[in-house]
Amino acid sequence: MKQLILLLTSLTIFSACRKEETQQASTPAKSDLSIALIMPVHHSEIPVGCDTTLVIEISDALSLHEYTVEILGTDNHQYFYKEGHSHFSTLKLEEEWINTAPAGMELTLKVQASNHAGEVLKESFNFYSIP
Amino acid sequence: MKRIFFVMTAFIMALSSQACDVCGCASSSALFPGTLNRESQISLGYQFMHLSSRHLPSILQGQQGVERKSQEYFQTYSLGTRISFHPKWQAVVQLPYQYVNKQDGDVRTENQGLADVQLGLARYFSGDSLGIFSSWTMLAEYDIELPSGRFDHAAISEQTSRYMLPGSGSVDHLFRLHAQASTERWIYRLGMAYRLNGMGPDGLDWGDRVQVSGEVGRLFETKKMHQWYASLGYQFEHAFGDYQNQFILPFSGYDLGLLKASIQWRKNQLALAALAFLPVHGTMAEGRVKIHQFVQFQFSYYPKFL
Repeated sequence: MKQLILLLTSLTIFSACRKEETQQASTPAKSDLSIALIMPVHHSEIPVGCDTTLVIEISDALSLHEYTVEILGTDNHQYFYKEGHSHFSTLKLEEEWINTAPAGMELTLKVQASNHAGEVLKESFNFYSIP
Repeated sequence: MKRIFFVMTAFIMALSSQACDVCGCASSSALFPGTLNRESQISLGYQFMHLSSRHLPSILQGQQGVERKSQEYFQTYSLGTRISFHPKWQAVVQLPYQYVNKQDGDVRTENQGLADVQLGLARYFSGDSLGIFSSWTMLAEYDIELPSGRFDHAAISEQTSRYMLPGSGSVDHLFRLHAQASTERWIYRLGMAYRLNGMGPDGLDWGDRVQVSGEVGRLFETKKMHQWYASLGYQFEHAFGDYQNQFILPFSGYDLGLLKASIQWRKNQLALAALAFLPVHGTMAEGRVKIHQFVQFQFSYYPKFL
């Protein structure tokens, strides 16, 4: 009988410890999902034919799910596209892109990311194709 | 005497069926059988579980809004032993190996390796001084799962989720209590278990699991000392939410009820058991993960030299 009481007491103690840990946890807000363009900077001028490295950081308190990176011209042509899936909470993308858009065209870099809560964040940045 | 022998064996087999920490099964999800017969044993176990996952709506080009489906097949092989080193005490060791196969459209992903080693200690109690349980035999067991299994965080990829890794990366604790009463032909069992999961090196903590179960079984004897046992039971599991870096992960935590059926055989020092589980209520991942098949098989040998 004593052993049984001891066992039940141990179970209770462990359960109590666990409860405390769980109560400290919380569900993150939507704003935890973020997209940052590191390189080139927003409004950069990029020469035609220039080999450019796109560096983008996506992060969230939760694990990420999917992402898309797209460069669209004002002519609605897609000059770059990349997509993927991640289970990490941060992702640093480094992608090579050669600017084939005609000089004078404004380009829009569109980045979308989702997390495992089903939240989606979209960010847009602009570049200018120059001679 | 033979009957008692089999009653106890049947109980051993039944204890192997507490095995549903599906989402948290980074290591072997099969809990090693307990025992009330105080026999030492060596066992080979096999568990198969087929899950399907309905993914979140896609944002990928051409797939916007599509909820992709994948199939996951978990197979766990385990070698285990229970050694009676005292009339009331047993030492438990289990060495599992996990193989996971995921089919996502045309993409097939495999992940396998040694899962976490489990070490335990079990103690028998008679229910003599416990009033209504005076005719019951009871078992209390504590097991620790060491982070010895393959935990390669870098292996996590687009197709490989964290739960597909064989090792959990954490120290986990299992507490179990079982009680059994029997008549000449019938066996009644009650069980409860608490799984206290630790935190992995990446800050992920699978939620704890609480499990209760009940079962009724009947014994049959045939000629030439073949003994059979069939049982039907119910198992309920509550999983607390998983959390990482102090955030509760969405779609984690669940309540799941399973119908459990078993057929078992024993002759002398050899025994075989087959168990099947059927989900009867509750959902996992808010309905995004479903169990399609869940079975266990176990071969046990009861050596006289241990």
